[in-house]
Amino acid sequence: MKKNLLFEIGVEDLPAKNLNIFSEKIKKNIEDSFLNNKINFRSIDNFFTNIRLTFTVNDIEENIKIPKQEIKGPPYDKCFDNEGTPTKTVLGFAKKHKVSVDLLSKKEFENKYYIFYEQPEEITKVKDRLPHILEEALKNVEQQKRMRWGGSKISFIRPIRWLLLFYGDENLSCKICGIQTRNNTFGNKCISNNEITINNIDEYFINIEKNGVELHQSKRKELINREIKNIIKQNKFDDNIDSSLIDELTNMTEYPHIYLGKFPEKYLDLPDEVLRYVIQDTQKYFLVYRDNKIANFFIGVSNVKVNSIIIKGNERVINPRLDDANFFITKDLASNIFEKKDFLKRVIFHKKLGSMFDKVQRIIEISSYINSQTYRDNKILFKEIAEVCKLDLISNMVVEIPKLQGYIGAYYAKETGLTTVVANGIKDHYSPKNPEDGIPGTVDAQIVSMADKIDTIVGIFLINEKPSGTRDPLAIRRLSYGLIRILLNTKHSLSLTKLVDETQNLISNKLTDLKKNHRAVSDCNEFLTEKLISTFKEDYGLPIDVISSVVGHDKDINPFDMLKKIEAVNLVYLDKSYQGLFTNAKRVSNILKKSNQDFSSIINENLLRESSEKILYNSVKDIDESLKQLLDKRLYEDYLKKLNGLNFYIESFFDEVMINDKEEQIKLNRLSLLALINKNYTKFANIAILSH
Amino acid sequence: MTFQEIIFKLKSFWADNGCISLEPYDYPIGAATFHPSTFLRALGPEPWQAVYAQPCRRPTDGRYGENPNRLQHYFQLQVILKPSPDEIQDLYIESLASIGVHRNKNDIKFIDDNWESPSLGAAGVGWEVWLNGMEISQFTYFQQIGGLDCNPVTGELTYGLERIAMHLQEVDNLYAVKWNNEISYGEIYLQNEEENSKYNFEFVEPKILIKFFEDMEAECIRLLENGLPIPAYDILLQNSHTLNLLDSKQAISSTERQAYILRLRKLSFLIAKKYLENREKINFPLMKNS
Repeated sequence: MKKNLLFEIGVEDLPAKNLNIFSEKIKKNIEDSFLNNKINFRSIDNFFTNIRLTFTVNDIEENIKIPKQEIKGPPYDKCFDNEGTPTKTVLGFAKKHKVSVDLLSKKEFENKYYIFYEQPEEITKVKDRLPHILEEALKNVEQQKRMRWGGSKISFIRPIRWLLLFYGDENLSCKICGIQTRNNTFGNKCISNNEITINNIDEYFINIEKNGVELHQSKRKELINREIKNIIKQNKFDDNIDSSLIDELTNMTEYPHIYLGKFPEKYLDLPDEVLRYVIQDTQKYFLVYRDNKIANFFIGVSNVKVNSIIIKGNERVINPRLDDANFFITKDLASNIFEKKDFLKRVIFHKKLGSMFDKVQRIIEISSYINSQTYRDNKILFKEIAEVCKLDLISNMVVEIPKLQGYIGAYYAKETGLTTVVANGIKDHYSPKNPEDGIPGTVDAQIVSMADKIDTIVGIFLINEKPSGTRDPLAIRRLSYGLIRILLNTKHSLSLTKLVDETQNLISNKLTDLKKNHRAVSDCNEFLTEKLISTFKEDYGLPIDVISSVVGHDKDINPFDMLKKIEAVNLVYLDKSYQGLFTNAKRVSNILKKSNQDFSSIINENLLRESSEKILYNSVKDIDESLKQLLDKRLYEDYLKKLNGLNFYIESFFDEVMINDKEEQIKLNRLSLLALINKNYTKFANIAILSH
Repeated sequence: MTFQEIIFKLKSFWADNGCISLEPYDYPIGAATFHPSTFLRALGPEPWQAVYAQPCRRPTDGRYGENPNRLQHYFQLQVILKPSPDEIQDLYIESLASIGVHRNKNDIKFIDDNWESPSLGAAGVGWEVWLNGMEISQFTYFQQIGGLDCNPVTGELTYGLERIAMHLQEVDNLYAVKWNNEISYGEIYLQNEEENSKYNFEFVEPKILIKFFEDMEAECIRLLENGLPIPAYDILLQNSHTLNLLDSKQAISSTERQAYILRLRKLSFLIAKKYLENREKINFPLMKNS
C-alpha cells in the first residue's frame, strides 16, 4: 500500500522576496530526509502563499524494509574467557546491536572464527518516523534570518501558528518543533478567520480553494498577468510591463485582485528614476507606459476584492511621496551641489580609506594614469566627470534615497547646465552594475568608472578585508567583473598588474596611517585573475584549458590582450589541421623538462652535424623576424600558424637525429636548439598543455 | 471617527485584552519604543502588557507644515505584549476592526521589515503593516534589546495614528484631520510644525548641543556607577534627541554621526545590564503574574 502525505505549515506573513527559494529548500530537506531514511516515494510537491507552506509527498511506501544481513563481529577467541564467560568485547558488540550474547553465532571467515550477528529483516513503519523527519526538515532549513517569538524554544523565518498533517486519510497527531499538529486549517484570512476542519488530503485542496485561497503560485501569477494585460488593452497603454515585481506580489497574497490607480500628471516632471523608485520600489505597484514614457497611472495588487476605498487609499499614499521627492529636488536645486566639493569631506567612503573627498582625489589621479596608458587621445572631460561624480551624495535626495546615486547627480547636472557628457558620466561611472547593465557610453566615463572601481578594489585588499563567503562589504566582486567588462568591450589593452601597482602606491602615499599589508597586491592580482578566468569562461564560452594556457602563463594581467591570445589559441586548437603544432610543442617541452637544466638557446652552428638539424635551425632562423613582427602586431593566430610551418622539420629532426649524442657538447647544442624552438612555442601561451 | 476617538477606542480595545493603560513619557523621544515601558520592560523574564499613546519627535522629518503627510512631531499608539501571544496577529486585526478598518474591505498587507535601532542596541523581526498602500503600523518581535537577547520575546505593535485618521476620515492632508468635531489637527499643531521646523533646520546651535551631549554622557556614566539605570536611561533619551537635532541642522558628518550613535549604544548596553541586575535583586516582582 502506498500513501500520500500532506503537511501544511501555517505562519504569520512570510517575507515575499525569495519565498520560492525558501519553499524549495524545505522541499529539498524533506526529500533528502526521506532518501536518507530509505523511504521510497514517487514525488514531492510544494505550494505556498503569504501565510502557508504546503508540501505533499506522493505514493510513499508504508514500510521501510531493511533486509536480513549478517554482521561480522570481533574474532571469536577475544569474545569469551577461559571459563566461557563473555568478555567486554563481545558484550559491547551485542549492546551495539541491541541483542543478547546468546543470539550471536560463531562462523568461519577467511580461515578464522568470528562472532556474527544475523540481523533479521527489519520493517519499520514510515508513519513512526514522520514527525522526526519533518522536524529535521524545518530545523535544518537554511535561512538568512531566523527569529524567536513568545516563549518559543525554536526559531523559524516567521512565527509558526499551526501545523496540519495528514498521512493517507489519517490526521497524524504529534508534536513537531514543540507544536501540536491539528486537523484543521484556515481559508483566506482576509475573508474569514474561521477554522476549517479537514477530513482527508483531497478535501484540503477543495476546501481551501472554496475559502478563497489559490494555493498554486503559478496560477496566481497567471491571474495577475492576465489582469494586467486586460488593463493595458482597455487603456491603450504600451504593452511592456516591468515584471520584476511579479513574483514578490504573487507571494504576497492568497488570491490576487488587480486595480488601476492614478496620480496627478504634474508629477511626471520628476526624473523617471524617482518615479520608478517611489511607485515600483517603495509602493510595489507596476509602472505603466504610454509611447515609451511613464504614464500617470499605476497597477496594484490587492489581497481582497477591489473597491473604491482601496483605490482611493492607494492614490492618497502616492501623492505625498512624490511631493516629498519634489521637496528634496527643489531644495537641492536651490543650492548648487556642484559648488560644494568640500562637503564630500563629511561623507565617509570607508572608515579606513578616508572620505569621499579623498576618494575623488584618487579617482582623478588614477583616471589620468589610465588615460596616459591607454587612450592617449587627449581626453579631457574625464577630469571634470571625476571631480563631480560623487557630489550627489551630499544632496538631500540621495541622502534620503541612496539608491538614486548617480541618476540624481546626472539630473542635477543637466538642470545646472553641465555638459551632457559630464552629466551622463556621473550616472554612467557606476556602470556596469550587473551582468545585464551596459558599460559607460563615453570614453571619459569609462575611464572614471575604471578608476573608481580599481580604487575600491585595491583599497579593500590594502585594509585586508577581501571578500569571503557572502561577505563582500563594498561589492568588489561585482566591481571587478565591471572593470574587466569595460576593458574587454572597449578593446583597450591595459595592464591590470600595473594599474594595481599604481593604485596601491597612490593609496599608500595618501593614507599614511594605513597598516602595511604585504600580501595586498598579490592577493588582489590573484582575485582579479580569478574573475578574469570566469569571465572568459562564462561570457565568452572559451574552454578552460585554453584559458589556462594563456592566463597561467602570462605574468602581466592584461584582460583584452589575454582575450586576443586565448581566442587565437582556441581557433588554432579547434582546427584539426594544426594538431601537429600542439603535439610538437608538447614533445619539445617534455624533452627539455626531462633534461632538467636551462639552455641558453644560443646555438653553435659548427656543432650542427646532421642535415635535418641544420635545416631545422635554418628554418627557425628564417621565420624569426616574421614571428617577431606578428607578435608586435598582436596577430597571435597568424603567429601560431607560422610556427606550425616548422612541424615537418621538427618531425624530421626527431626521426633522424639522436639527441643523446656520445659527445656532450653536441647533445647540449641539440637541446639548445630545442630550447630556442620552445621559446617560440611559449611566447604568449603554454600551448604544450593542450596536446592530447 | 475623530483623532481622539481613535486613541480612546484603541486604548480601550487593548485594555479589554489585558493591557494596562499607561500615559506618554515626559521626554522628547523619536519613537514609542524609547518609552521605558517598552525598552526597559522588554528586558528580562517578567511579563508585561501595556498600551499608551506617545508623542514622538523626528526633527529631520519637519516640512515647515507644507507637506501634507510629514511631521516632525506626531503620535504613535504603542502596544507591548510580553510574551507575544500566539494570537497576536489576529488581535491586531481585531483592533483595527474596532476602529472601523475591516480586513475584508481593505487591502491589508504585512510587508516584511527587520527593525533595528543602533542607538538602543535593539533589533527585531516583523512587518510594516500597509493599509491600502499606506504604512499604518510597525509590528515587531524584539529579538535583542540593549544588546541582550530577549527571552521571552516581546511583541510590539505601533500604530501611526495620523495616517489611520487620514484613512478613516478620507482626507489627503493630515492637518485637515478632525481632532474632535470642532477642531482640526492643523489648528492644534500647524504652528508648532512651522516653528519647530525653523528651529530644527535653522536655529539649532550645534556648539551648545554638542557640549550638552558631552556633559550628559558623563552624567549618565556617573549615575550608572551609582547603580541608577532608570535616571541614566532618561539621559540617554535626551542625548538621542540632541543627536537628532544636530542631524537635522546638518551639523555633523555621517562619520561623526556614526561615532555618536556608537556612544549612545554603549550606554544603552550598560543601562540594560544594570536595570536587569536591579530587577533580579528584587527577584523580578512581576513574575507573580506569569
